[in-house]
Amino acid sequence: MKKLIAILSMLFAVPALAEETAQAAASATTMSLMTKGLIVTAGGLGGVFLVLILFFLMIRIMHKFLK
Amino acid sequence: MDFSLLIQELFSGVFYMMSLDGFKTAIMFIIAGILIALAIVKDYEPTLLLPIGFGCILANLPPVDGFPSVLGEAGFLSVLFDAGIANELFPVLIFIAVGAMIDFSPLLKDPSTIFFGAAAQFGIFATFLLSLLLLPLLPDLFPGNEALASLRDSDMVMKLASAIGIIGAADGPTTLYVANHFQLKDYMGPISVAAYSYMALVPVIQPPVIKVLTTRAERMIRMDYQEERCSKTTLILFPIIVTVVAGILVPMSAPLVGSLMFGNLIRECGVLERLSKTAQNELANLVTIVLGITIGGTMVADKFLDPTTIMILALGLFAFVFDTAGGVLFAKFLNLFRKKKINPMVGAAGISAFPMSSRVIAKMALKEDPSNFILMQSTSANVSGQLGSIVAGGMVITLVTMLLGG
Repeated sequence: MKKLIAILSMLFAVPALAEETAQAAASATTMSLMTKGLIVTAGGLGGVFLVLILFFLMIRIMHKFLK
Repeated sequence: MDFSLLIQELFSGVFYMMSLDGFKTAIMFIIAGILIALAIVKDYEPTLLLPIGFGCILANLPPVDGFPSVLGEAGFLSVLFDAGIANELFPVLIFIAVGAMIDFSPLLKDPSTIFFGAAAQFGIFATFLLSLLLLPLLPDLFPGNEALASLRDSDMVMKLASAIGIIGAADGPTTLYVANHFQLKDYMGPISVAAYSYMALVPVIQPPVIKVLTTRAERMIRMDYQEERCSKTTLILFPIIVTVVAGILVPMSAPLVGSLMFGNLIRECGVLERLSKTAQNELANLVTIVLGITIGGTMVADKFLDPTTIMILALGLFAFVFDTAGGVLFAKFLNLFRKKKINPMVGAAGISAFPMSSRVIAKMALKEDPSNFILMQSTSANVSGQLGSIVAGGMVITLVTMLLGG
């Protein structure tokens, strides 16, 4: 259970962190197009994986409790 | 009475067709003809390609007072565009219909394939980066073309690159949603044509990509299907929880996830049989008709016959190919660490083209080994791709908007 809580808190924390990072990055006017592109790529791919990992855990938990 | 003026007025359409604009119109008629022929002769996504082709013909008819009569302020295609695409209504309605059609039980019974729905979004981001590199080159390559001047604006390049990348997800409504969110009305024609055409071409595009990246032995890998019992309560709770979780984590995806899951809840709740059937049939058909013809109406020669269109079509294909490759390569990567190997073709089904992609993959497996059935696994990956592409769309909108200071 502790492990699960740790994973869940990490999952919820990372998108928020990515959002903060992106906000900070947006203020940097000197940022090149490619740098912005890499931020979107890393944040986007990471975000998709994290959300789907969460869905995976959610399905597992549902199976556990609804059996 | 001046007869020459009268004749010019009466036959303005004929004179128009003999001008340079008329030549462009003729090219658009040919493109429309190809789309209609693909729909009727090849049966490639006919419900969309036929209305798009016909809408394209209507939008390129000789103008009356500067616009074809179906466009302009009171033209019915403009009215439909403002009513359904400019405010994102049609993509949302389509998703309610799609949600009512999707059976998530293969995914709920075997959720291990959900990660392919994320891996197969790789092409979106690879294409996004490639577009950022290539789009700014267009104004210098065609210095006389004023229509390309907007691509000197890096914000515009970011927005267009986002929409082009999403084409790779093979998810028409999400592509429209992203393009519309960034107000890319001038590019809506080529973007939507690319998205829907490549969706229709799944049986043509995916098999060669898969064959290049896999060996015959890999394509023959058998996968045990160990399904867990999936209760009615799980099927009902799934759409509700997904909506809440996605809405909290990626709020920009909420309209699409919410409508998809609303449609799915109508299907699974068991007490709305009539609404479920209406969403799957009448709603889907009605919105598809008006969506297709409205998209076709954006294919106006002046905006469509442009180097950007060719770039969008080429990059869209690249995105589609790399999404397929991303899924296959991710499965091969996982196989490095697994005792029970995954058939890498299942990874390719992680795109959003449902159910076509899963059927193509299952058929390929049967072709290699007539007793190898991987339809359930590929369907599971395919519905994950539906979720993955919506989340990817939401992530792209969120991040790009933030970086643009919006």
